[in-house]
Amino acid sequence: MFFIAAAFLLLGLLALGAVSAAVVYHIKKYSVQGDQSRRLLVGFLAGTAVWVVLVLASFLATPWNSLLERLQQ
Amino acid sequence: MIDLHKNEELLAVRRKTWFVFAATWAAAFLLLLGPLVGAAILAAPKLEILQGPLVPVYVFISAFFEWVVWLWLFIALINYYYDILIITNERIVHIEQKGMFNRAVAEMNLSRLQDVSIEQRGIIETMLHFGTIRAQTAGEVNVFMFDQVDRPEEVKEIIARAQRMALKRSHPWP
Repeated sequence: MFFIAAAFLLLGLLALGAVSAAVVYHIKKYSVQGDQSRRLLVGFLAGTAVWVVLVLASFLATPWNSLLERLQQ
Repeated sequence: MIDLHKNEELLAVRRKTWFVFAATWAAAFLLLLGPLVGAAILAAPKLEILQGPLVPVYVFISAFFEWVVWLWLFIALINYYYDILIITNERIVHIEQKGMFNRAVAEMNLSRLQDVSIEQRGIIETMLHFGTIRAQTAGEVNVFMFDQVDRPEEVKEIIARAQRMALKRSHPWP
């Protein structure tokens, strides 16, 4: 169970991380003089950091190998 | 960043009206609240489904879901925010962001500009002060169009003023 969850986590982190990198690239590349791109970037990175921390913390907090037994109790 | 020529001044940078993006904001806000509402329902005293080892599993799935919604919101925001009309004292630049990897940039020299018109159709465009701007070059069928722009009258004025300045520069005699 742990390996299935770890594979899911790894795939998710890779896919969403790649899309996040693309978003950061766009915001940095296409900013225009005097616009709010910097704030946009900071907001995006702060939000993304929250989701990554939540994903990792909840993954580590889950007893994957004994999950089914504990659910049946 | 847009590369300005020597002696070129940036006069205005305009985007589409906030109203275009309002539906996306609202949808993203509701979707981000979804897992919280779901948790409140599932953990309610009558159901009590969400408890014990299920809590971190729920948070794990929810965090992934929220991250996807977050990315969707910012991809939509990039589409909205980087659709730009730039007016300088030499030219008008229209940048149209069509999705993440599709972008069109059109430029029109102000000295070749012949006619600028605005159009506001319907009660929503009139009440919320947005509409379409059309600029046409001399002797060509080529029309430069920027729709759903915020306060089109102001933009038209800025373009007209910039055009007068550009014409004065190119024909300095009285």
